[in-house]
Amino acid sequence: MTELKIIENLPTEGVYLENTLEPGSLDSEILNAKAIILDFPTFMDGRAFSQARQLRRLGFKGELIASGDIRADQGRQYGQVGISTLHFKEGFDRQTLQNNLKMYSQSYQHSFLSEKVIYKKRLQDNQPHFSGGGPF
Amino acid sequence: MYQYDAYDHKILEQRTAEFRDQVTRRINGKLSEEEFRPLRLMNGVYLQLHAYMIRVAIPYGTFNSGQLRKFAHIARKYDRGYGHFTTRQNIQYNWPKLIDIPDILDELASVEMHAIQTSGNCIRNITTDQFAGVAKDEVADPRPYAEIIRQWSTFHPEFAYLPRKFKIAITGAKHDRAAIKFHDIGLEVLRNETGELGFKVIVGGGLGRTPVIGSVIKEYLPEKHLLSYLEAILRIYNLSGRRDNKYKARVKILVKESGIESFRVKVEKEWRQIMEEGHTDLPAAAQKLIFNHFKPPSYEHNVLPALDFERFYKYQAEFKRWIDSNLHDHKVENYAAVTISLKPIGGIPGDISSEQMEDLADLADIYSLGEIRSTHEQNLVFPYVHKNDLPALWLELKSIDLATPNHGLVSDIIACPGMDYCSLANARSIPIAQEISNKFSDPKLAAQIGELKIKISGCINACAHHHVGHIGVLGVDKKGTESYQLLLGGNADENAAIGKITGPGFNGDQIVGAIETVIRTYQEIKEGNERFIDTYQRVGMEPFKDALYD
Repeated sequence: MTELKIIENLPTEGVYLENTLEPGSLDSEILNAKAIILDFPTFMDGRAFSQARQLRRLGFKGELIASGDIRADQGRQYGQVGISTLHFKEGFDRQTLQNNLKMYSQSYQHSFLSEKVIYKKRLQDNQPHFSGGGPF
Repeated sequence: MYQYDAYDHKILEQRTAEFRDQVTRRINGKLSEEEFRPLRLMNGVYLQLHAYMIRVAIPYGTFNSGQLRKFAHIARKYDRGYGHFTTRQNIQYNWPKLIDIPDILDELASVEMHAIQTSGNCIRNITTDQFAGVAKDEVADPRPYAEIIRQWSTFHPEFAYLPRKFKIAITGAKHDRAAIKFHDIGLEVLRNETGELGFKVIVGGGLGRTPVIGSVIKEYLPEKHLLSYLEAILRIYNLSGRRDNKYKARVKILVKESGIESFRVKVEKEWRQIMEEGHTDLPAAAQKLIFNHFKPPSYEHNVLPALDFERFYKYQAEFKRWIDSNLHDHKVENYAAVTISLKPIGGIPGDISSEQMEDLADLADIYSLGEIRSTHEQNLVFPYVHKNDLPALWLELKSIDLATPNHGLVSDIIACPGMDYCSLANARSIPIAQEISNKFSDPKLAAQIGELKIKISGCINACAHHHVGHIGVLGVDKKGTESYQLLLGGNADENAAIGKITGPGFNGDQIVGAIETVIRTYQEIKEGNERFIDTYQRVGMEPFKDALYD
């Protein structure tokens, strides 16, 4: 598990990315920024999860900040898609966030947290001595 | 069928612990209902008219006798002694207490079951053909692919807050029993000219307020790229789907508004990048590990005639009726797949008691290698019955009131819970279904009428798929009273069609009479062995309209 950084104030050098941006129309200049701020206008609006994933794919190495309606119970999901920092304007349930980050040790999908990816683990386990399940 | 390994178990254990903590925080007031709502919805817990409801996922409608016994136990201990099978192959309980739900989830986890992603704006349970793996007409068994998709979509971090819910269906047969043209994504397993397996991919189908027949986005997708292509569609939808209006947020609206060509261009571009990354598609060896779980059982390969079966079929008229309607061709000689109707005459579609579930679990062990399927038509299936066992099975089913010979017939009605349970409904559905079922209780009459799919939804959200019923009924609120629109000519299979409204609606006292009129009209004008839907396609709406509104 990787720790997520928690901030109360957004860094001045952060570049704000609209979450309504058309997929594929990202200006590559933004990849040179030190920090990119992703917007979650409500926690139910999951566009920035996909934006985070795409930015990391494009090779963005800087700080990726989730800002807006950020919830402790979703802590791990932010980290899994490559977000490194959570911006909480107000107080939040630190214990819940920590629990959430610790609760799972593995994932079915590729993850940016240091979790085991299940299908890769299965392949490692599946050396000749292991049958990998039966028909029933 | 699929069996959990240590990794699957661990994920489930972690999830139930997480939800127990969330429920505790709700009960001790640390979480408000507003904060708790999305958390419970991610776990299939709804707040309905009278109580909480929990929806349990049955991945692609396949489960075993041990799991069925657990469903029975949960119904008895935490609910009112029955469960309800849904049109998405799941089972739901209508009366649990919130405080008991973590315990229910622990019970489910002990038999490799859960309620993950049975609600919320995420990828829901993958549905498929109830005869998957045994259907005579299938190109390949779709269940291993459904399992691959299940794992990939479980807690996918990127797709937990989509614009709206997302439903994927897959079929391995040309004859579509999974309604793939009416899902957000529909997949048909097929072979290309060189015999390699792959998928036809359909996107943007759906029912609800805006019924749409899905469009083909890819004629042939190679098998190994299943997940990367799904991920590309989901990512484009997540980024571009409408979020300004809940009723325009499904992918069907995005596809319709942008046009399938433009949508395809975006998806293909994203897909190529996902393939370059190489994180998503399963390597062949990992795929094989999942396929290992779906090897066919060791059938008894004898080709001698099934004498007990032949004798019963010849001399026992009731048995013959049951066989004629509820039996399905099996890919192995002398075996059959059998539909166990959850539509007893005058009963509630999809409901089953704890006692029946337990008896059925025992019968599955004896007659169906311990495996059961749930269907999107709210029935159950025994997929592995030897023909010589059919008379014995039928007698046993009869003794527990589960041998109704009506699969695909007039009383095999799909109905949503309607105003009896649901907070969204405008009208009752179950009593209408019961009245129709009673009216057509004579099995001889039902056999004469032949194949007929009646689907009754209590509101515009169309949970009972009324748009694709041969006869569809939609309950609406008309100035404070229940009123019913009648639709004809819908079809959910490979000849997909959306039903048309006959004209002005009917009140609760008239709607069943109107359906009788439609059926009588069909019987008068049908030619030869035409099914209702064939007659409708030949003559159109007019004769029915004339009979209804004269």
